[in-house]
Formats: sequence, structure tokens, C-alpha cells
Amino acid sequence: MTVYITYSRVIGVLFLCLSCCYLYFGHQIPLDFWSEGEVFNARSMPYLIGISGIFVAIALILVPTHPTTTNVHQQWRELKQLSWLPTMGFALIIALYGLSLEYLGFIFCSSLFLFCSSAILGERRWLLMVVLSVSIVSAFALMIGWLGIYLAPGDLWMGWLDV
Amino acid sequence: MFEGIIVGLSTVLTIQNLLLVFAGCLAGTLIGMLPGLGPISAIALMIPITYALDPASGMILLAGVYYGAIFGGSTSSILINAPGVAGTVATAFDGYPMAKQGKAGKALTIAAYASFAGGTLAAVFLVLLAPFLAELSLGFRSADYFMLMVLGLSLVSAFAAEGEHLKALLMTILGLMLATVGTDLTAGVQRFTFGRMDLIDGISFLLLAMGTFALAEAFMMVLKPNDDAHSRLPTTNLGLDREEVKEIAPVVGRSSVLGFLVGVLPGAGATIASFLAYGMERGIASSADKAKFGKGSLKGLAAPESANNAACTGSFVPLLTLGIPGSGTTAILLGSLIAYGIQPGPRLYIDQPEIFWSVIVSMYFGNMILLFLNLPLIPYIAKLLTIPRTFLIPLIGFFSLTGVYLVSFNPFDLQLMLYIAVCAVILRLLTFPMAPVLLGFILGGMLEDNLRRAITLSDGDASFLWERPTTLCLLILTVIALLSPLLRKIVKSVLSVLNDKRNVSRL
Amino acid sequence: MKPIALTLIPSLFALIALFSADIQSAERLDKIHFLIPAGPGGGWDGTARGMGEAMRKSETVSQVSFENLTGGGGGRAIAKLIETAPRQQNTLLINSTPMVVRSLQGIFPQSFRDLQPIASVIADYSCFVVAKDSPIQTFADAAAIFLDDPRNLKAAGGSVKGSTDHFILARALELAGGSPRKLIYVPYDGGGKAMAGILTGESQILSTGLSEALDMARAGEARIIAVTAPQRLKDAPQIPTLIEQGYDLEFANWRGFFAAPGLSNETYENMMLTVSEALNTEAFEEVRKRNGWTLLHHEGPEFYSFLEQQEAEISVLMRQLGFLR
Repeated sequence: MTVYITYSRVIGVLFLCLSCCYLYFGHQIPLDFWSEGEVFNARSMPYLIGISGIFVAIALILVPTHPTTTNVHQQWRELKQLSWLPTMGFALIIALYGLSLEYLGFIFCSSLFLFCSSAILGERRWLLMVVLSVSIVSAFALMIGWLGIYLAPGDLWMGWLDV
Repeated sequence: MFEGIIVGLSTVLTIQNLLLVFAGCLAGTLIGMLPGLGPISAIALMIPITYALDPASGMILLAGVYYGAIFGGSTSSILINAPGVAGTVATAFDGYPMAKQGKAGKALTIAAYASFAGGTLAAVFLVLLAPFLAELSLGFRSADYFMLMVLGLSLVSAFAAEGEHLKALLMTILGLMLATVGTDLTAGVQRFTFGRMDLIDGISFLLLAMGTFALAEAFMMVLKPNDDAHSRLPTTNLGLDREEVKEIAPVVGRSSVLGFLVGVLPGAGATIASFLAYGMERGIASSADKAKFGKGSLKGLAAPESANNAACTGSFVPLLTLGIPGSGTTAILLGSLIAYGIQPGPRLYIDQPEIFWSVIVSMYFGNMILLFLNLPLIPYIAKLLTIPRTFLIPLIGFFSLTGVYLVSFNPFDLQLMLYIAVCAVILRLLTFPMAPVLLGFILGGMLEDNLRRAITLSDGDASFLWERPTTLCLLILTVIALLSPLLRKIVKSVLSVLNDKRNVSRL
Repeated sequence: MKPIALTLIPSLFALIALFSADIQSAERLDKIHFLIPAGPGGGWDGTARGMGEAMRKSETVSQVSFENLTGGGGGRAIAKLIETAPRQQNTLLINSTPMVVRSLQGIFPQSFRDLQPIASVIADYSCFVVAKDSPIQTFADAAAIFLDDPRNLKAAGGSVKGSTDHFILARALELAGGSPRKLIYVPYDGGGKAMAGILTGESQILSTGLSEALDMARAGEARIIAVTAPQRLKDAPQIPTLIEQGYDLEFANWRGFFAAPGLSNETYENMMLTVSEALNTEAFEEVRKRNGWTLLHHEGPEFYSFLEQQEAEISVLMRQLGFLR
């Protein structure tokens, strides 16, 4: 049985859409007066890239796939076996880290990040986790300070520091 | 010249200056190992210390920091796939696969020797050829740089597995697209920023490298919990046997020459040098060796490692002989030279021989000290990989996130990096290669700038492509590089598809 | 047992570090915090760190810290200073002429009016450079080539089209009787690469800042043919001014400090005093000499009117040249 919808083709279709959007936004780039007489202006390169993107994406969709190497069912089984749940948890923690970093402050937030991501990966030696995350982050922060790089304290602590 | 070397030796061989070389290399290595803080930051932060020293000692310290940072950058590339310095991206292509096969110690040893050889050979070239090379670097115009970038892009096939060239091409185009985000360097207009202030300066290379390599790798380790078990094999085998030395010695020689020559050009630099060296080695390797590239090839590790160190030394040629800084790092070095009252230029080694020669002699010592400093440490550094994965993965995440944050101090960058990493993981699972994204990204910006300059300078005429011999040579090289493997592969793949069809229809 | 003991000690240090790091941010009056809208190693960074070094060495201020905040073409640092104004009691933001240009072009919404100008400290004049064996000896030679055929005078610069490097040269050529819009300006990625551009012979004249040009021109490969200073400079008396060559154009690229808006007058007074005291110290003189800076000290209201005047001038210039609509 030949499968026509392979993963490469799906990516090809997605990339085709991306290239079209890219071309559309590339066309919106404002041009200044001195670009009018120019052969090659701020839009030219995006046009070139976008059009070649469309060609390559179409080629990827059309080119016959190798029936033995592109076994979609096999690929799907392999993908299903991966541990997606902890991965999503890890991604969520990274997202939260980015959102709360400036509010909680570098040292506190980073320690929390190390602690939580260890926990999500299945580590259960709680004391070791606390000690390690706090000490690693603090040592790192000390080194940063020694190099003269300024780390702003978190907004959370600002309130009671002023008092 | 012989007198000069004596002058240089007598300046460097004082206890204070030897200690400074040592301190500079050590500090540089440590800073370079941390993703994010590259040589520019390292040197800029060290400058206040150097004002307390005399000029020769100050320059010795700064040059030590410079090599140290490049050298340290390769360590994090190999161990955790986190190329903190742009010049060490290509090191990760084969260095990290080696580490995953339990050969981290060996990879670090090769990197140390290749860097040492690259740096030392380049220092020899610098002494012998500096005035002549200054001329060469001025023979390179925008049109030539443009063709050099095109030649670099034509190496894309070097980063693709057999039969996956379209995928590699698609990823290169993705990299080119990402490179156009931000303020256009020619006209100053904003492109693809969607009104966001965070995107006005574009996407930083560091962010993209960390997102597609280090953070994506951390995700892959979470996704495949059983897959990274082999990295905890004992890393006892550090040494190289005679066969291996024979294998990489010519590679190191070729890559050092290429890296040095590219480094001499003010508009190119260590990153392009390492990509070109990697592509060249893969291009001329036998087909059995070629298959190993990207999967832990010794050649694929040695080539970019020696090229980027040679290029760093090469960048001293336009700096010392013409007073032209080719990169951000050499611009800072120029600034501190001037602050000492030292005027680089053709007369530097006539007027102030002790500076010129002591910097050059300190390069030899710096490289030697880097080697002796790092070789004994390698077993311990490699052991870092034996940290349990429940701690190792969070640490990789932490260092790659903070590496990006400590440069921009923008939480938006962390979100952007996460999105990029998630896309990279999906693409990698579907066997799309990531290296071409970085290649397209690095070369894309420079390619566009140089093309636009070349067109403006030739008043809109396309004749710049063949008018000058240098451009024409590069153009011909590009055509050869593009056509020879492609033609060979097209013929081969057409034949194999036909054969398969026949087999399938027979079934 | 052993691992726990080993890890406990660093964590104790860590706790101390945690608290000391937070206490550090408690505000004291004898402390200055520099906010630099660019990464380490650039012009802004060098000026702020030089100033800080002088303040610390001369003991004008007991504690100095530097924060590099990149992004948005410098706009992010300005936005942050305004947003968090109440707790930026000791913060000095460094900036320079491009701030005026960029707000005129609308790259970021704020202008110097949204901040409190404290003082300008140094000036960097614009200058024009040619390769050492170029036939161009004076600015009149360059203008003659341009008037003959604009395509024979390609102008290199280290910044984008529409920046000061571009419009200063365009204005000078206009004074010589040419059409500024015909100038072919070739932007490079930084002054170093632009200098390489004239040395390779692909462009004929370079328009850039004097301090950067002097660093490179002293190597002897290039000549500076004109500077936009009002009179010849003490540190580089061999360079003729544009004015003495008969082109009435004076332009100073200032670098100066700004404070957050809405703080008390007393705070501003203290800041102005601190900066002007630091400028008069020997430590600053040493830093200034080392970097070849020219002093340009305008304070508070005087600095504000200087900025207004420069903004008006630049805006008229850019409109005349067609760079602004």
C-alpha cells in the first residue's frame, strides 16, 4: 500500500503556507524615497527567499518518497513511544520561567526552575534538589556579579526593600 | 625578524607576563564555557583590569582571554551541544555526536590539539606573511564577499544526509527567512517585526543557536529517556592512536590554512571559516568517510576547530598592520591598543617592536598554556556528563536560557527561544537537519548586505559578478561545488528510484 | 552523609549571597547606576564605563554599577527607565545624537523630552576620510568629483541610510552646490568595515565619527580631509575643519546622560552636581585623554535647549534632504 500523506509532505505544505505569508509580509515592508531608484531594495531579498521557499516546498511535496525508508506507520509508532508528558511539563516550566523571571528575581526564579524541572524528570531526593539548585544558581550569580554584570533584583522584592 | 622574536621572548618570559597569559587563558576558558558570554563580553569586562598594567602585559592578557574564550566555547559545544560562541557551532556538528557515543574525552582532546595546531600554525603564518596578507585582505571587495557567502551556502549539501537534500535546502531557506527579521542594515527599515520593539534588533544568533541546538537537545533527552544512557559510559580512552593522528593531521593542516586566510578578511571571520573548513573536508572526503560526517567524524571535529582558532589569529593581520578591526572583538582590542597609545599600522613593528613581537610570541605561549591547562582537566570536564539526567537536563536548560538572557536581559527572548526549540524538536523528529538553519541565518544577512553594496557600487549593473578575477574564481568554485555532488547524486538517485520501482512492481 | 555535608556548605554561602544581593539594591545616595542601551564594548558602553571609572577612582561616588540593556535600537532601555521611574533614583542613562535622529524617524516613540536631561559630557565630530593615495586632497576636490558625476563619488559609512553619517555628507555636498539626493551612500556593518571599503578602493570617501576614524587613520593608510568641528581640535590640529574650507557646517555628536522622569528636583540637582564634579577630576581627565574624547559639557536646562536646537536643526536638514517626510 502506498501512503501519500507523509510527514515530509505535511511539513512541505506548512512551509508552503509559511512562504506565502512571508511573501505577503515582505510586500508590506515600507520603502523610502532612496529605494525607488534602486535595483535591489529592502523588499528584494525577501521576495527572492519567499519565492525559492515556495519552489522548494512544492518540490518536497511532489518528489516521490522512498517507499521503504518512509514508513509512515512505523514513524507514527516511534513518535507515540516518546515520553511526551514530561516534555510538555518541561516546556511549561520554561515558559513560566520566562514569564516570572523579572518578577521573582534571578536567584529565586532560577532555583525554582532547577528544582521544578528536576521534579518533573522524576527526581525525588527533595533535600538534595533544594540544596543543589540554590547553591548552583547562587554560585553562578556570584560569578556574574564578579564579572561586573548587573542583575536587577526581582519586582517582588522591591516592595519591602523600599520600606 | 630574529631580533624581534628575541625581543618578544624576553618580554613574555617574565614571571608576571607568564602568569598573565595563564590568568587570561583560564578566565577566557571559563567565560567561554558558559554559553552566552562570548569573547566580546569577556574582553570588554577585562579591560578595566588591563589599565593597571603596562601595554605589552595588557595586550598579552587580552589576547589570552580571546583565545581562551574561543577554546572554552568548543567545550560546551561538545559536551551539551550548546555553542556559546558563533565560531564553535560547527564544532558541535561532530563533537556532540562523539560525546553521545561516550567519546567526550576523546572529542575534547582532539579539539584541544586541533585548536593548538590551528592557533600555532596561524601564528607562524602571521609572523612570516603579515605584510603580504594585508595586501590580500584589501583585494577583497563587497562583490567577492558576496560570492564567498554564496560559496558558503552551496555547502548546504554537506549538512544533509543521503537523499535528504530538499530537506536541507528547505531548512536553509528557513534560516534565510529568520535572518531578515529586524532592522534592515542598508535602508534602516524594519522588516517582519510586526510592530514589536523586541524584534527591532532582529533575532540574535545566540538565541537561534541555543534554541535549535542546546535547548532542543535537552527536549530530545526528555523525550527519549533511554537513549542517552550510553553517554554515561566511562570516558577512559582519551588518547589518540597513530591511525587517528594520521587521519586528522592533514585535515588540521588544510583547515588551518583555510581558516587563517578567511580570518584575514575583515568582512568574514571565524564562523564562516569554520563552516567553510567543515564543508571543504566533507567535500573532499572519500564516500566512506563522508557518511561519518555529522555522526561523530574525527575529521568533522578537527576541521572547524582548527579553522576557527586559525581565523582568530588571522584577524590580527588587518588589526595590527592596517588598524582595521574586522569583528566586534578586534574592534575592542583596537580600542584598548589606542588607549595605551599604541598605533597599529604598517609601522607598528618598526616603531614599537616589543608590543608587536610580544603579542605574537604570547600567542604561542597562550596556545601552549591552553593545551597544558586543558589536557589534564579533560577527564574531569568529561565526567560532567555522568551527572544523573534528572539534574543534567535542568542544568542544560538553565545554562542555555540564562546564556541568552544575560546578553539581552529580555524575557521575550526566552519565550521566543522556547518556540524555536519546540519547532526544532518537531523538525528533528521528522529528520529535518538543523545545521542548515544556522548556516542560512549566519550567511543570509551578510549575503544580502554585500549583494546590495555590490549592486549599488556597480550602479545597478550585474557585471560585478565576473568583472574581477577574485569574484570570478569564487563564482567558478561555487558552480563546481554545487554541480559536482548534485549531478552525481541525481544520476544515482534516478537510477535507484528506477530500480526500486522495478522491484516494487515485481512484488 | 558526605555528599550532604559537601553540598550544605555551598548552600550556606548561597543563602548569604541571596540576601546580600538583595540588600545591594537598597538605594543610597552615594551610588550611581549606569543604564547602557547597548552591549559591552561599544561607544555608549565605553563612555559610561569610563565615566564610572573616573567617579570611583576620584571617590566622587562610592559605588558604581553598569547595566547593559540592548534591544529596540536603544528604545528598550529608554522605555524601561520611564516605566520603572520611581525606583531609578540613582540611574543615569547614556545616550547620544542618534537618539534625536531615531525619535525623529519614529523608530521609537519616546524622545529626550520624556526623560530628564542631566548633562552632555563629550562630543564626537563627524569627519570625512579618504585612502592615503586618493587624488582627493581637500573637500573641494571631493565636491568637484561629485558635481561632475555623482556616480564617481561612492560614499562609505558605518551605519544605515538616513543616519548622521549619511546626511552630514549629503548636507556638505549640498553646500558645495550639488543635489544631496544624488549622493550614493554605501552602508557597511560598522566603521571598521567601512574603512576597509575605502582602502580596497570600492568607495571613494568615508563619512564617520572622528574618534573612530582617528584610531584607524593614525595607522597611516587613510587621510582625514575635513572635520565638522567649529575650530581645529587640540588633540588633532592637523585636520582642517569644514568651515575653514568654506562650507558652513558644524555638527557635534554629543554623548550625555539622562535621568528618569518625575523624580524630585533635589535628586536632579544631586545628579548634575555629581556629574560635573566627576568631570573636573584628574581621574576623568586621564580617561578622556586615553580615549581621545573632546569635552562638551552642557548641564540641565542648558543641555535641554541644546537638544532642542539640535533636534530642530536635524529635522530641518533631514526634511530638506528628503530623508523625512
